[in-house]
Amino acid sequence: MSNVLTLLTYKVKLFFAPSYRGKYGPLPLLALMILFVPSGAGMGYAFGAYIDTLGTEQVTETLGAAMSAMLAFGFVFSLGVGITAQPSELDFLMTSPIKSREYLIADLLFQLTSIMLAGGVAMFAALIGLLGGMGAPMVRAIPLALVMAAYGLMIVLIIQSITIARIRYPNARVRQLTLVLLVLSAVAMLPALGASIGIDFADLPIPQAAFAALANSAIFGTSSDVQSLVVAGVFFAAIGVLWLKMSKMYFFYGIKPTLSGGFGQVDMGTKMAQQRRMIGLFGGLTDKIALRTDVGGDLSLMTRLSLVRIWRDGSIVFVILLLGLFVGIGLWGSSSSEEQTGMDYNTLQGATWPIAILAINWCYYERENLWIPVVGGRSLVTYFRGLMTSLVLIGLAMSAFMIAIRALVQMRVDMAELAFMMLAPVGTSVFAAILLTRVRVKPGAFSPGLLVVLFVTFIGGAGIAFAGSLVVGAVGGGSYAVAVIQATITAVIAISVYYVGQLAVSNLSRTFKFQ
Amino acid sequence: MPEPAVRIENLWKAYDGVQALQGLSLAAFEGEIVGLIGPNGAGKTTAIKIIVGLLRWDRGDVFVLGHNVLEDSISYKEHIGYMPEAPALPEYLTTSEFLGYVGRVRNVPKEQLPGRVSELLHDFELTGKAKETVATLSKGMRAKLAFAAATIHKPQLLILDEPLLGIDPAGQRMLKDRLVGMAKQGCSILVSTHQLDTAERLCTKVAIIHRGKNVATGDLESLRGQVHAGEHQTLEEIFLKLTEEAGQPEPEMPRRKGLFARK
Repeated sequence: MSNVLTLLTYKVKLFFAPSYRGKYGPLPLLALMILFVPSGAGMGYAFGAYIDTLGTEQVTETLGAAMSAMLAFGFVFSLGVGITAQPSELDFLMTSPIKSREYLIADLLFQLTSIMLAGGVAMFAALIGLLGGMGAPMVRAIPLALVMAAYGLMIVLIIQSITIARIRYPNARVRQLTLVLLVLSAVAMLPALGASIGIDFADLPIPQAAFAALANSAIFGTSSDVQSLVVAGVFFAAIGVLWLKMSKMYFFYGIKPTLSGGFGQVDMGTKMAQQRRMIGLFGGLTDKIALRTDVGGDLSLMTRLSLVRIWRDGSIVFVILLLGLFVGIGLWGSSSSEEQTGMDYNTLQGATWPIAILAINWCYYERENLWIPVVGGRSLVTYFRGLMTSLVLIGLAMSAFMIAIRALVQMRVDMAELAFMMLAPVGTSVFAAILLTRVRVKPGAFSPGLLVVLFVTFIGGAGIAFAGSLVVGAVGGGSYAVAVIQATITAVIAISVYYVGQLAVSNLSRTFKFQ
Repeated sequence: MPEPAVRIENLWKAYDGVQALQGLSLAAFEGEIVGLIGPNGAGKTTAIKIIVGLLRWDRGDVFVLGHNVLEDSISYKEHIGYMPEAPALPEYLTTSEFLGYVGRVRNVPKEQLPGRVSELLHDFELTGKAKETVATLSKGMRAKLAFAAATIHKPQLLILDEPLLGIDPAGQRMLKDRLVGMAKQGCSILVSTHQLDTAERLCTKVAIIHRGKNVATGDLESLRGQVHAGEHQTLEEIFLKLTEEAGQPEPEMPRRKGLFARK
């Protein structure tokens, strides 16, 4: 075990060094830690106040859902990377004579240390807030923290055990079993979300229910029931025994480097490796659409090039997932509310964030490839115009999908709402393309460029959508003729925004700095 | 005296106060294969990036194929080919799509493009990979693809930064034969390499770069003459002698600026 401390120190330094070796030293890290304290305390207080209004059974149910979510996250993590290792650890540490268990313990301690260093203050504030919201004594934070720590530790042990099993027994369908457990964990969250499926999960001998009952006892200061203690203890012990067995096995050959290059950082080498994996994963499906380079004009070529990239490198998956998320939330919201809000926040998010994410992905995956047109003697005007056009096309397709869903649910389409949903992605795409000609996004959560791209595109798209829908809404409504006028105005605004965007992008890309 | 394909005069370039080039001068004529050799950090890649238009320099003149690059930074590129060291390639394109894309960017006529792409894929033994994405290629195949892309438009000047890295011996042989063939047809080639034995056999002229300066230029015979070396001394021995004479590299300056700069 002599190497554990060395490994832990290396991992902690590697993870946190980029965040305090920047221009402002440790200040951004400290600022981030402090920034989340009020929100942690606020969320904890709100949750505590909410819990205070519930009965004991409902509290256990709610806590059980939170515990299930944590477990589900653990299963997702074990399906992916599982054990955190930076690329340099693979090259230098895992080729050294260190034992598997030494590395696992170091990784376990590192995960706990990094969570505590990055979010420990905010989590503690949330805990205090929760008890404050309930009007409970603060001393109850101690048993509650212990229950949560034991549950968290158990999840990390599960993650590590599954990851090793996946590596050591490639034919044992470990992945499929993990997926089943993931689905079961997700199902266990449903009652707390208001979707009853006729099963009382709180009564089942499952770890999340047992730990939820223990947390409930800690919050209300009551004595824990024996059944929950036994179930939690048995699961913890069983997983501990499993981990002891698995941690003896050699697993270094199956570890994939983690995406993060450090706290708030992204390792570009790993990011590119991830892109290669995504291309390989979707290869059989995505290469059905080919890029014909011997047909079409330059703008057409660059637009198709951008579309092919988004289609093949997995970016489209993020778009679909985000869109599905916002559509799902919107549908859930509209089913639970009498009021039909057309231009709501979810619609806006669905029409803008995917474009902003595509713009960020471009910075990560594609910007470096610009050396090809740059040394080819081409100005980048056509390239950026094509990029903008591709974003507009994807945005309009997303909006068309959202409009279709809304029309199916509401059996009507409001023209101001339609204008809003069509103009938001056009405006967002224009702002995204403009920014990409000027802003350089460094790989990291603290990159000002990343924040600028994310928020300026969102605000810009929202501004154009609101302004356009106001104009369209001001025309009036009711008759078919007015609807035609409104549709025409929407199209004119969209085309105008597009052309103004093309002009702006053309001018700005002439002075684009590649390096 | 014919106009050189590349002429660099007294070129200076600094990064954050650290001088990468300190008065570099260089010329490469039609049909020549000029090897740029030098220690790590000597300024070879900086010089190459300036020639292909990826970097701006601080002082000096750069002429490529008769164009003053400062005054006309676009049109000369139509006639140059470039293969960077460890090139970033669009992983999502198939090899044939990538070559087609570069061909379009390089103004190869659309009607000639499919034929030219097939020809290159065949020549570089990549025909079987025509419909596979770049992401699936090995390191050597990626290098061959990048080389093919650099030559798709039959350039008058070919600039290569460590082109043989990661390529197997047979592939290296093929690339070298191709370079010799292109030079015979009048193409000027500027190649940066650390493989001194390759440079000795392949290049018609060698420029030894050290601390951002050209410390010696010429064919092997003239380099031997410059250092008063015997006729059996290799390029490696000449290189080591010249760079040792020029002194040890200066310690690297701290590049970080700001409140928490490294001491």
